[in-house]
Amino acid sequence: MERFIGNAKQLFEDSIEFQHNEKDLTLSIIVKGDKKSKEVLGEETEIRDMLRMFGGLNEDIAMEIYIDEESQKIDLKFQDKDNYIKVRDVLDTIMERIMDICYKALTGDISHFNDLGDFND
Amino acid sequence: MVAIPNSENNPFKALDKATDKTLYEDYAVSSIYIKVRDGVKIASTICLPKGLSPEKKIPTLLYQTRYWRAAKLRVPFRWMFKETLIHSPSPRLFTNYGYAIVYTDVRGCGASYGTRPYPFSKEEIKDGADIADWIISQPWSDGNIVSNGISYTGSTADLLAVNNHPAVKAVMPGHALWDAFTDVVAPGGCYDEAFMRLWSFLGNKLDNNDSAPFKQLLPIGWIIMKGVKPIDSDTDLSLLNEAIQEHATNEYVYELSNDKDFRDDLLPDGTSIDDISTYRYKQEIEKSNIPILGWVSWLDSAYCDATINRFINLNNPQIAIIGDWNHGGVYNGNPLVPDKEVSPTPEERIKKWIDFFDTCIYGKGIQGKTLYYYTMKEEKWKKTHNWPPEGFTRQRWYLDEGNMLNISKPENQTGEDDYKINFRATSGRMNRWWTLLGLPIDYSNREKADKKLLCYTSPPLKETIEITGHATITLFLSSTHEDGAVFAYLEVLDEDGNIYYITDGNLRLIHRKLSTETPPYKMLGPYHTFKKKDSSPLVPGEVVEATFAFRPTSALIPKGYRLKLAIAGADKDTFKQYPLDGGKPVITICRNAVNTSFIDLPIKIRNDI
Repeated sequence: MERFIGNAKQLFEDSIEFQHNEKDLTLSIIVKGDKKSKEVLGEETEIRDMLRMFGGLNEDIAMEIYIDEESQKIDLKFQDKDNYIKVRDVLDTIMERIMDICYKALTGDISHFNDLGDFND
Repeated sequence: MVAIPNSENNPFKALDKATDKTLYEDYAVSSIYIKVRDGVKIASTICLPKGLSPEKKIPTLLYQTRYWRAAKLRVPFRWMFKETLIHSPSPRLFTNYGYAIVYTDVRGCGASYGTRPYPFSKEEIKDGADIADWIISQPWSDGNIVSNGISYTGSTADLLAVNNHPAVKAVMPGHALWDAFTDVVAPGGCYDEAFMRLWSFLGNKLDNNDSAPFKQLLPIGWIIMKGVKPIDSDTDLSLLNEAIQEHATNEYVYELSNDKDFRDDLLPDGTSIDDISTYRYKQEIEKSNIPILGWVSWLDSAYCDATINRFINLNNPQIAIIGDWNHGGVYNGNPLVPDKEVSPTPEERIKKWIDFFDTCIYGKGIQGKTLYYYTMKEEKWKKTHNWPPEGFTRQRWYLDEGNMLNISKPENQTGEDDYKINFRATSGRMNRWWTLLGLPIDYSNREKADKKLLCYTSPPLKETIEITGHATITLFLSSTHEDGAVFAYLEVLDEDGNIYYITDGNLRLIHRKLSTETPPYKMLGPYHTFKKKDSSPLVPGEVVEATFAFRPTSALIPKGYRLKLAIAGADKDTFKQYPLDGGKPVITICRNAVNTSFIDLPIKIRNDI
């Protein structure tokens, strides 16, 4: 698994695109490449887990999540601009955080997760 | 990366026949259930080269695992990677070369239905034939199947041959067992508490689709994986949940075996630990005449013995390879050259495996038996058709006064050394036993470890020697207790006093009787049956002989180095403690003209170096 990390950043960029729409307070995750099934795109809880586990978003943010298989797009819609900005900032740095977490995990360090509670396993 | 030494004896050069025949660039994945003869549904993940034309027929690599055949990845990894990410090296290496791969969860495991009474059950072995039938009925199959794997999956590859299925053309057991009792459960009759407990714990969690233990044991795995991959049509997970419910009656080896002291102790259903051993299927495997490529490393648990035993006991055409890496070949495992990187890399190795499979499917196959072994410190591959290789003589080194190892027998009549067993003694958690969990191997701390042990050291060697094969040790000893164990570490000191581990051996002393019975398979070294009828407690104060083999090795020991023997009575991080109730045992090692204790090494003088 170590080997995948070396390529993961590029793969992430090739596989995922984030779009911001501040006017509509909407963040979009576009999953690129071969068309993914609904199961692969995931469920709402998994998107929230990703933000918490890898983004460090340790609070419940009010947002609506729409997962569309046809467009391969996941929209996060907010009513509150502060919430929009918080999640936008998380998404903007999430790949770097994932890399950092993975590198640490390879050495056995999972301290990052200690305060984030249980995940949807 | 260190280049693979360029030698005609290098197996990775010898197998290097293929041209660059990359045919495909990616692969498609699907997961289904294959129903076997008794209705049990086996979860299977099929990888086919992308762009495979409908009329094209290709061979299949079958990989049967008790770990998850494919993983349900967490978001966002699921958007980036296929569910086969957990397989390293990537299945792409095979599909690019025009092989299909079928990964299965063996019955009772992963997303498969069924239950699991113990590993490698007869029903599990038969499933291999049913899956082979399914494979060759597929429109993309050319009717040829090969199988490989490492560790558990290495053994399922080995045992696929038992079925004598005509489509199976070659198997490749990597780091796989031969005799479950001595290779894994209780090497030298000493119960491997750490591995058996951890492996059973992990197996239980995997069979219940619980990834939580990975959080501590394999954090990167926990970060990436949520659980086992359900089959594609199981969108509401109802089938997966049904399958997991069937696993509730699975049995686990730690619970089955941790109170067993003898090879012939029976499990609850009347079978014994021997029944999960590959050697029990010698006749069926030989009847298949399927070519076998077995590979392992010197420092991987007792699997080096397993590979040698397979080599000397089976008449099938065979290649055996013994290198210097950890369990699975991911990390360097050469204690004499600890800083080098593993060679070959897993990717390089896989390409040679494809050459082997191609030769067996499309070429002339392999003839006879060849064993390639790596001599550590000399850093060279050797080749032999017989084991042990020719040209080695036995050389004894006697335990003597002043904690010396001498080439001449002691002359004194009463010399002996008392050793109070230190139950804190350990070879660490990166030893040859813990690497069964895929961990790196590290014996760099022998100086500290040896301070708790009884040690004997030779004068500097006058000539460079090569030790290749099974060294043995004979100790005349007494104890204050009826039970106990001896762990013997063969080490060397360089001219600066740095200590390097070479190999080790161990024996639970109730099993000390040297049997004159015919062993169940050809064995090298002293034969202990480990059966109840041959066991006997020690009589406190009474001197007995304990003779046993070190695990095999091949190492060059330069002139000027010194041999060192370190003796322990426990290895706390790995093996169960003997006596079971502890106490403060003292063993007395005799080293005199009457009761002569010694090590016996298979050596060759290497003045050519």
